[in-house]
Amino acid sequence: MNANLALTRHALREAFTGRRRIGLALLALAPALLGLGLRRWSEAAAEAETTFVLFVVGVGLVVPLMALFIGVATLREELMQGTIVHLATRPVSRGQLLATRMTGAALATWLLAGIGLTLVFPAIGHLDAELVGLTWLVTGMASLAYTSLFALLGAFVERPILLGLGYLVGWESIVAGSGLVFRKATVAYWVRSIVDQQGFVSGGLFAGEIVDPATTTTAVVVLVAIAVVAGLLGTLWFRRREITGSEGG
Amino acid sequence: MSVLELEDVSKWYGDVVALNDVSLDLEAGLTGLVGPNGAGKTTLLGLLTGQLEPSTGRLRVLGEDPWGNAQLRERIGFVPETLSLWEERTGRDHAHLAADLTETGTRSAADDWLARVGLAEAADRPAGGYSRGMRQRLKLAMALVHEPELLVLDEPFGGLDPVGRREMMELLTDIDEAGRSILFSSHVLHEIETLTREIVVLVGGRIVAQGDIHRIRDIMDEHPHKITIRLGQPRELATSLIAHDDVVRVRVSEPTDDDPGEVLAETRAPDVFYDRLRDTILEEGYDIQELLSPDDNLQAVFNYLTKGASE
Repeated sequence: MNANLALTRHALREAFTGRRRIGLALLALAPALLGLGLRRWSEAAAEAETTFVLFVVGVGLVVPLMALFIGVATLREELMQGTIVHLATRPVSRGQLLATRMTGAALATWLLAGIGLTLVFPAIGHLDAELVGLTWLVTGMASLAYTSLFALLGAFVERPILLGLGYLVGWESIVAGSGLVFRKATVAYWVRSIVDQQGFVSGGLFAGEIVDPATTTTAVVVLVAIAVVAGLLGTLWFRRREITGSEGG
Repeated sequence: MSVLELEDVSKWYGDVVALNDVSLDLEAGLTGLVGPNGAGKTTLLGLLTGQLEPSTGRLRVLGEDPWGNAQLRERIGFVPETLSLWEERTGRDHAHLAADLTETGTRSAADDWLARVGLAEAADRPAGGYSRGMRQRLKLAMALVHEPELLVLDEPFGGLDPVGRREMMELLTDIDEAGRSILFSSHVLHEIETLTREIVVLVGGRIVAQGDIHRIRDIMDEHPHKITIRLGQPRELATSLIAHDDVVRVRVSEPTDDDPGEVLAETRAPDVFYDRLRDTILEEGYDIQELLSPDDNLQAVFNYLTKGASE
């Protein structure tokens, strides 16, 4: 098997190991469970409820949280547990190692969140092929950008989960929906632009319409660029990083 | 060609000097790197395998600089000291991943190595259930899947029981006989002594001796060599021994009800001393109960070297 494929596959599998697996499964199922509840509560549940669960709860809350839990762990766990040495002493470059870790983590987030959000359709009882496609596109873009950022965060800081939660609540949710020029410095602004351009409601923890949404193409390009820049910054750092025995025990 | 070349290599972490101006030239073969805990062995191996960057100096492994050199790692196999593995993954997963990350390694070679290290039956069990010995053997298989020219092992006997140690030694002997260069570290001299005569002694971040164990012992001979003789007539033997120029010191412990007496002699010419002692014992008919020389094994060399270096 090609080394990049093997590393990506490894990262994908490692994303779902240990106790995190249960938490992630519950998180993935949360939108569908909410959809089931809405269906029981209101017989008329249809497109409005579906898009609310998909984009406000799912893309606005579940995907960033999932990206946080998967992203921060992707390199951090290998470094903390000492298993990184089994990879870093193989004939693969540090850049390859980091890029494949980020790709694997983003794929893991995308697949899990995508499957979880797809279950919302049967849960609510409203199936719309166009909406399914949009869900996978938006989930993919959000997973890519958020997971890359959080992978970087996990490698750099001591308490990445706490800082990541603070970032999501304090910056992404508030600033993205504001009229401030800084809104474009959030991932949520670009993710929600894609949803808004398709005529659906989007949102995060503090949902609200975003001001002056970007075009879908621009949003996709910017989100990919965020992931690439995160990857390049991470590579610059990781190339110089020494692997010491003390972090492995 | 030299397998390893180090010229004035130093490595420090902040104010802590882990390696201090180390120069070393190692030819192909099986070499033991010995030193107490904290001597800098793991740092040295980390530099050789490209995990660490030297603070100063020049370093070449198989003719190339290892730092940031992924291609060179195609020619090196490394068995780290850590016992950490991906606990939920099977041994076979580990070996296959190791093979997938190389150009020359194959999954079938990985399966072969798993069998050679005795993990064929356990290969499909999660590594979380592996004993220390199994983990060491799995790491060895992972390091060998691409048939590297140089195998580097950091404390490969760590945590192994006597059977595990013997098996690991047999494996390393086989690998050595197959023509591969091996550098392994240990703080237990007996392990190194069993496998090879070529050693590098590292203490306090400095190389204090390198070469054949016996040559290093010759250095020892320039210094007083301690011999303990347990017998019933220590004072008589001590009087006889002290008359000779090569004997620099004699200490006597008188016999008690529980213990025989003891003579501790220090000589600058152990070979002459032993010959004379044999003759004296035969002539005088001493009842020797035990003859010990802590200086007769590598441990003594090591003790001497480490003590000298730390003073």
